[in-house]
Formats: sequence, C-alpha cells, structure tokens
Amino acid sequence: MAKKFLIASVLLLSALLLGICLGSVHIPIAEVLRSIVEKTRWSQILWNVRFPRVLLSVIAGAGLSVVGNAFQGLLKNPLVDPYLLGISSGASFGAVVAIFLAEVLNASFLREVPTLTFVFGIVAALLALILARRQNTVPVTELILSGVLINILFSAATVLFVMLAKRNITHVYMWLFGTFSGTGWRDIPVPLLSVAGFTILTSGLGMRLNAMSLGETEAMTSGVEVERLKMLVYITGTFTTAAIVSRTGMIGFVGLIVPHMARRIFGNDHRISIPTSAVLGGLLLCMCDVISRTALSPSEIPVGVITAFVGAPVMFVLLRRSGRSV
Amino acid sequence: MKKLLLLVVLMLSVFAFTVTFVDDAGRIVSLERSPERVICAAPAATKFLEYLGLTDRIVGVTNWDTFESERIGDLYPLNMEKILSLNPDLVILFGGFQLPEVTKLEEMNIPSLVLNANSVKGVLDDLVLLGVVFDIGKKAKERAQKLEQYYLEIAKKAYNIPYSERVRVAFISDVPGPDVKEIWTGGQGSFINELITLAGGVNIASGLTGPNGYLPLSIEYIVSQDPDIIIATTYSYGTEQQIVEKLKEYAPFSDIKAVKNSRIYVFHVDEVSLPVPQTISLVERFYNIFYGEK
Amino acid sequence: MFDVEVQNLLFSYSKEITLKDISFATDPGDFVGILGPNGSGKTTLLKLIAGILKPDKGVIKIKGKRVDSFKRRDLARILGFVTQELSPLFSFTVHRIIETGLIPHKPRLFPSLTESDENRIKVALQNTGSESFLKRSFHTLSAGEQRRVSIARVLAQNTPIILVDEPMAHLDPGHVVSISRVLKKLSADGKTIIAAFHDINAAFSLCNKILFLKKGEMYGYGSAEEILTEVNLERVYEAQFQLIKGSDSHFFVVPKFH
Repeated sequence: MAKKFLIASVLLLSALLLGICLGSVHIPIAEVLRSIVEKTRWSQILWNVRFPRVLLSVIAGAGLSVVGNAFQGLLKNPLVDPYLLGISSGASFGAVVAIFLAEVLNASFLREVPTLTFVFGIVAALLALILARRQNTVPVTELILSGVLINILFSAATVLFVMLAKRNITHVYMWLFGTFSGTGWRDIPVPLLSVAGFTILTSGLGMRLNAMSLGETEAMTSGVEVERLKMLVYITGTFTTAAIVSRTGMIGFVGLIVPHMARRIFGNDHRISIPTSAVLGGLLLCMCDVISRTALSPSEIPVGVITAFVGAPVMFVLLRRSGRSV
Repeated sequence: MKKLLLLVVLMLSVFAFTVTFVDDAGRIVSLERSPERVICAAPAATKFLEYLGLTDRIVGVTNWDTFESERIGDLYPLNMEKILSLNPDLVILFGGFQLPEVTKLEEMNIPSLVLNANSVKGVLDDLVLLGVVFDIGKKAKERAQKLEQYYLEIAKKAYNIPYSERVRVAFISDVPGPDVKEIWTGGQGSFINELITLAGGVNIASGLTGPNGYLPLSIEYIVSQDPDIIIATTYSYGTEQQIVEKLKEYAPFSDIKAVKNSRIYVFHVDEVSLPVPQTISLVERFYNIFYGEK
Repeated sequence: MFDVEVQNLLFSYSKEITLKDISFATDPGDFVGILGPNGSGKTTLLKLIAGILKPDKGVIKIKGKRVDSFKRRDLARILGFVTQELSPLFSFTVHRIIETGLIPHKPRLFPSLTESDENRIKVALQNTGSESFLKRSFHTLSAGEQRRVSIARVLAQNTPIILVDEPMAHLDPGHVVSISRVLKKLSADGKTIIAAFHDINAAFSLCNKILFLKKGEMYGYGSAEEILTEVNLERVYEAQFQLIKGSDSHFFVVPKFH
C-alpha cells in the first residue's frame, strides 16, 4: 500500500515538472533550470503563466476528486459528482451576469467574474439543499432530484439572460468544458486552502463516511449525527467545488471517475481513498491540461474535452470489470 | 550651461511620448512610447493597421487571420504564453466575447487596447484613436475625415432618391434549407444595417434588433417582406455562384422579387462583418448594386 | 429501572396510522420477541425505540431517559441496532465494517485504533463465530456469514441493549441455527435484546417475553408461556395453529394445515 502511494506521489511530482517544462512556447530544459536561479527572458512565462497554471490544475484535480469521493460515500451512490447540487450552472449564470455588468457599466467588473461565479454557485447549491429538505432531514433521492432541477433552472436562466441582455456572450460554451487559460497567482490561495481543508476534514471523518456507506440507519445507530454530517460535507464540498469552478469553469469526469480509480487501486476505506483520490486527481488533471495546451498549439483545447476523452474509456473499462465492487 | 542643457533635455524627455487614452471598453491606458511590437488578437485589428500602413509593427496574429505572422492561437481563450514570448508593446483585442480576456492581459502587465466599434462612426473614432496610440494622429485624422467625406457623398446621393424608389434589402447570413429554419440578419444597431441604410437601402430587419444588433428571422417574415435585393454571405471564396443557385432553388423564396429578378449578391463574410475602415467601401458597392452607377 | 419503556405510542408515516396504543417495558436481561404478520409495524417499532423515527404521541425511554433527549453518540453507547440487511455500497473488508461499531467510543476526527480496539473487534467476531473472516471482503461471504458479521458489528459497539430486525430473514436453515446460537449466547451474557421475528418457533425458543403486533396494535405482551397460546396465535395470524410438545418438553408451534 505504502509503495503504491509512493509511486503515485512520484508520478504526481513528475507530472508537475513536466507541466512546467512543456507548453505552447518551446523552452529548453536548460533554460527552465536557469530560470530558477536567475531572471531570464522566460522567467515571466515560467513563473507567472506556467507555474500557477500547473499548480491550479493539480489543486483542481485533487479538489474535484475528493469532493466527488466524499459525496459518493455520503449519498451511497457511485454516480454522484461534485456538481450534484447545481453549482456549475449557478456559476455559469454568475459569469454571464459579471460579463454583462462589465459591458454595461465598467470593464473592471471583469475582475469580479470569479467572485460572482462563486456566489451564484453557492446560491444554487443552497437552493437545492433547501428544496430537498423534508422535516429536518435531507433525503438522498430528494437531493439528487433538486440538484437536477436547480441545474436546469439556472441553465435556462442563463440562456434567457443572454437573450434579454441582447449581448453576444457566446463564450459561455467554454464554461461547459473548463479551461486553465489565464491562471495567475491570484487564483491559487482560495482553491488551495479549501481543497486542503476539505481533504483533511473528510479524511479525518473517514470512519464516519465508511459508516454512511453502510447505510444511514447503521450509521445513525452507531452514533453518527447523520444529518449534521451530511450538511457539513455538502456545504464544505460545495464551497470547495465553487472555489475551483469559479476559476476554471466546469470540468467534468474528474470528480466522477477518479474516486473509483482510487478505490480500485488503494481500497475502499475513505481514510485512504480520499487522500489518494487527491493525488490521482491532481495527476490526471495536470496531464490533461498539458495535453490541452500542447496538442493543437497555439490553440488550446478546453480541458474538459480532454478529461472526457480520457474519462469515458476509463469509466467504460471500470463498468465492464465491475462485479459487486463498484 | 551644460547643466542647463541637461535639465532642458531631461524635461523634454518627460514630454517626449507618453500617451494616455480611453479605449472602447472605457479603460484608461497609458503607453510610454509608440508601440513597435503589436499583437493583433483579432483579425479586425490587423485590418485597421493595414489601413494605417502600420503592418510592419505586427509581431503576432490569431489563427483566424489572413495576415502572415507568428500565430498566437485562438481569439478565445488567449494563449498567454505565446503572447508573452513575443514581448509585445501592445495587444489589440476586440470587445464582445473577447472582452473578459483583457483582465488576463492586465494581470501580466501587458498593455492592451480594446476596440469595439459597431457603427460607422465608431470605426472612424477607432481610426483616430489608433492614430493617437501610434503617434500618427494627424495622418489618421486626415484619413478618417476622407473616409467620412467619401461615404457621406454616397449617402447624400442615396438620400436624394425618393422613398418610393428605395430598394428593400434582406441581409441573410445562412442559406435556408431543411436544417436551417431561421436566418440570422443584422437589425438595428448592427454594422451591416447602417451600411445598407447609408447606401439608401431599406433593410427589412431595421425595425428589429438583437444582441449586438443581430437576430434570427423566420422564413415567413422574409417572404412577407418581399425584398428587392438579397445580400448573402459565404465562408469560402469561390462559392458565390453556388449560394446564388441554392437561394434560387429554395422553394419558399421563389416568389420573392429578389429571386425572380436575380438580384442576389454574395459577399465573403470577412467583407461584410468586420467593423473596419475597409468595410465602409461597401457603402459605395451597395449603392451601385441598389441603384446602378447613378 | 426498565431498560426500555414504551408508553402510549402513536405513529403514522402518512395518513394511515402505523402504530397505535403501544405500551410495554423490558427489564434488563430480557429477550423480547416482537411477532406479527407482515406490515404489522415491527420494523417501525424498532426504529422508534432506536430513536431513528419520532413518535407522533407517546414516550419512549431508554434506561429511564427519554430517547429523544439523547445525543446520538451517547445513545449509541447503550443501544445498538442490527438492520435486516447490510448492503454496503463498496466492498469493504469485514474489519472495516466491524470498526464502525467503535465510532461512539472514539473521537470524531482522525480516530485511531488502539490495541484494545483491535481486541474488541476480535472478540466480537469470536462471539459470532466469524474470526476467520477478518480480512475477507464482505461481499464474498454467504448470507448467513454476512448476518453474523452484521451482528458482530453491533457487538463491537458494546451496548447493553441490542435491537435486531428479523435476524433469520432469508437465511438457510443451517444459518438460522447458527444465528440462533449467537443470539442465545448474547442473551446469556446479559444483554437486553428486542428482536422482530418472522419465525414463531425461533422466537419461542429464544425469547422469554413475546409482544404480538397486528396492524399496528398490541395483541398481547408477557412471558412466552403465557402469550403463546393457540387462541392468541389464531387472533394475530388469522389461521389455526397447534402447540406440540417436543422431546425436550419444549413446545413447537405448527400450523394446522388441514
């Protein structure tokens, strides 16, 4: 087990380094190394463009995977992903509002895109939670249903807004697939802190998540405050997802697939599968981002397209090989 | 004496060239010298520089540009690495869907300029703005004035045509067919609408509007308006005749005057859509199409 | 003090009343069997006692304290619940599953297992005859073995009161016997057990008290000898039974097929 983890960590580190060395601008390795010690003409690209981008891809991959993992165990449903509560469409609505305000009022509103997408993502999730509440509990099926409803609602609202605003906001499609383009150091602190915090929290709550995966009745009678645990994980998970999505757009598949991969390789105990999901997720998304910015250079493929092309076959293989163990 | 001279030179150098201006996104931009290395992050920007004879300053263009230069990728999202590696003094981009990219450029301290003309006057203003930026203010102003005189002359001729003789024009950007039920056109607020109107045409969509002035029209509406002239667009040179044929064959259009009288004119998309000085020459071309060489 | 006390319980899931006028109490060490036809409310009653559901009227007390006044953690230290079927989403090992029984005794975040915890797990498995399953994957076990592990999980929780929902449901006769042995041992160790039974004879052989439920109402509560009469059985099950004495002076209930 420890050996596997070591291999995964080494792979992650290599991916990080690879990500820094590769890009649409060819920078020889010697120059990369030189730029660590002295200021070269590549320094700005390496330090201000590539490094934060690679870091965010690792953080986002880790975050989405951990949230997906925790939600799956919590809801006892293997098909759940971080966007369960309608965060993604709420966030795209927020993005559209921010861009509209920027065109109508003041271009400086563009800086607020991450803030507005974050806020609306949370709003959407909270609405889904409130909608699903039944007598102080949040039953799983109700939650999944209201998540779907909120998603549809906000998607429709986004389209309507674009129509009524009479503006040309065609890049909303980019939101559906996500991108790391334009990542800067300002995009790192909030996602990093929330992902680290959530990972530590849910790893610590691992045994209770295991109990939830046995069933709510079993967990309850073994002393787990089921409703409180669900709320805690939903809210912190939503916060973490929104922190990521507000900067990258909606990146699919990672939060759904990586938890299954991690469980297959490292086992089903949440105390192990959660941290390992973080490592695997970071590794996967980092590599996908490298592909997205080098495959058709200098054009950039939205990273969600790459994760779909990688994720769908992996999911397919996992489904075929599954017996009782998902 | 030497010291005084030094002082004077120093003072003068301060006033040498710092230009501060407001771009079309309302941003206040300051440049310390006339830009020598320019990246045109939209094909329309290249056209402007071509018009002003400044193409020697271009060091990078997008994949969608016809100008020969280093490719920087798509208009959206902008490839920051590529842009930085070219060490530009200025990046020119457009508004609309490209607007959010400007924050990324600002974060990297890359001077950028947003153009967002969607009217003829706007294009002229942009021309003057670019003149200020590139320190050829006088020349740019002259060219803008000439351009204005040029199209106003045609507009005057068009104005004198009695209303009863004005042609009704439909601008359509798709060829209708089994999969195309709605056709996009330019209504109030769009560049094409203004060009048609200046040329004396009556745009059947001029009473309507949509995002940036563009909106979809239903087939029934076009047929009911019975336009005298159809202006259509194509994405590839050489297919103009095909487009004309397709439109003639399209059953619902068979009774429209434009089809019966074979007054269908096809332009390449780039010729009609870019809000650039070169497109203004369409006013004359349209006038000639509408009313012959009167 | 009674271990479990139910007073004038009234509960309904929706418009129809599920349980009505239920009142009974158990002494420490009792083995109470809840018997009745399907749909009589057995599982519901167990869930109410465990505090999973809240009654519309009436009071339930565990060791003298109202069940709704307990924190889950504290309640879990004195009351355990073996559900009808344990179907984990993921294929956990038996060790992982038993572990969860220790939750009420460990800290909330980053609980780590001490040697005495591991011991507790081992003992729980021993008491259910499942020591050899420790490292095995739960899904590879047979239904009877899974049921034993499910009970072991609650054993590891080390509670004086154990509720069991249909311990023999869907099990082969051989497995029924092994579960029966486990329950007998638990009772002999002094645990208070309240179990819902489908099988009348199993209840008869294990329990010292019987509670009859029919359509949500009590049809008798008392010692097994008193309650299990042919008359009562006919009233509850609407069919005729006879009590037949076996070789060891123990009575068996047999339906009158003709």
